[in-house]
Amino acid sequence: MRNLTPALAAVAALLVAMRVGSVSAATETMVRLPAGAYVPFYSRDSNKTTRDGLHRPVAVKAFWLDRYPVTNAQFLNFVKHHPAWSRARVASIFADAHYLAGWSSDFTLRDPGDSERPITGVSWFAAVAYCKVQGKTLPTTDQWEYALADRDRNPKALNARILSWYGTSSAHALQLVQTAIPNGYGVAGMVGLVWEWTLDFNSLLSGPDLRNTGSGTDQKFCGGGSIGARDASDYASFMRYSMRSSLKASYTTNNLGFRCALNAP
Amino acid sequence: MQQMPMAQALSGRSVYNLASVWTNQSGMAVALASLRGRPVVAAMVYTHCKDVCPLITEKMLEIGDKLPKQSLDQVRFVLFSLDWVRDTPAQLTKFAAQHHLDLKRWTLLHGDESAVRELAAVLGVSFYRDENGDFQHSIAIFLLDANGVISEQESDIQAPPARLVKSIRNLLAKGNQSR
Repeated sequence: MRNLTPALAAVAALLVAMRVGSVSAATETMVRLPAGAYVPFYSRDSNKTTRDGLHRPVAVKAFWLDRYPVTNAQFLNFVKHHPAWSRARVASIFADAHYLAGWSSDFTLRDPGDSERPITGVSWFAAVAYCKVQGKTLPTTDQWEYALADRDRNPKALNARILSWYGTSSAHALQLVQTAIPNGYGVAGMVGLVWEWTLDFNSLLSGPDLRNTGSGTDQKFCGGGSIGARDASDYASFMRYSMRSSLKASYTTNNLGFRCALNAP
Repeated sequence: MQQMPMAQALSGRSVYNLASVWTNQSGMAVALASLRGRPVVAAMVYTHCKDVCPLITEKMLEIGDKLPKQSLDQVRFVLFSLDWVRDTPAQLTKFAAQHHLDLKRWTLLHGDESAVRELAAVLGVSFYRDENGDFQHSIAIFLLDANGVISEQESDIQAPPARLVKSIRNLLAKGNQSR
């Protein structure tokens, strides 16, 4: 697929995704999520927060999402064909010094057993470039959170699993992606594997960013951010939104990976 | 997004490593790397912005006013539009006229969504596009050196222009390079 243009690659990706047929929209590589709505933990849109702090749902159009996070083997294949994204050659503005630090060299995994584990140590730029080559994009925060919410099938169990994972040491090896638990849509490993980049990770504005704008959002006041939260006791969501807003696009860490999305035609 | 070939010997910290191509107010294609060669005063704004973007533009004009003519002639002022839908070249031309921007020194650029997101990521500009197509965005005026490396950044729109003016003069005195 690497020789195709992104537009052709997108069509090819869709054809692969649709091959399985109509019983379920789930396929080997991507899952189709139907259009719907969800209530975000933070409302980034001041039009969506009512005066008494209630949040209105955000509509999400149908889209495709990778069933699993991108693996080491997949990312290695990408780097081999696009060596500008190898450790030695990546521009420092696109990735910090720990880029792909889990690999033993530019084009070698530390352990072949890592092939099917999620790629980590990748910056936002590298993740965007990878998805673009496949004719895809990173999911938006709304798409990612909508997939995680899983149509509110079992929010309490979901929250318990998230908190239990957040409380687990990250010192041990990451799980193989195929062993991750799929949610009701068939999207696997959104909880329990790695944190994941979103296209607009940098869309939560707060504090000093907005203080001088004179625009009327409550996020412009110090500490005002928590007032905008859907449920201040939802510690799991708080951690996720905080983590995203603390990132810079060149950051890499050993527990941050990604998966790609495709807007449904 | 592709990276520049190594042969160009562009600093790894240069914003111009982004290969995105933008369209200027006259409808001409502008590669970021073509901005190389002189200091650039830049900001990300959108023209339907009612309060802060005009202030950013006025602040950039003020910086220009404080520079001696000889220095001013060596600096480029660039507005990158956040609004990949509405800020067409015609709209950018209108905005330039409204603010009396001298197009000999100023460039207003329209990019597609991915070009906007990548540039915002490189500059550390946070933004959110709401359902009306308006933006919330962080505020900053950037000074890039002749190689596109961020030399200074001013996030306080009320700050006097003196600091950036001094930095521009320093850059010019050093032959446009900052390490």
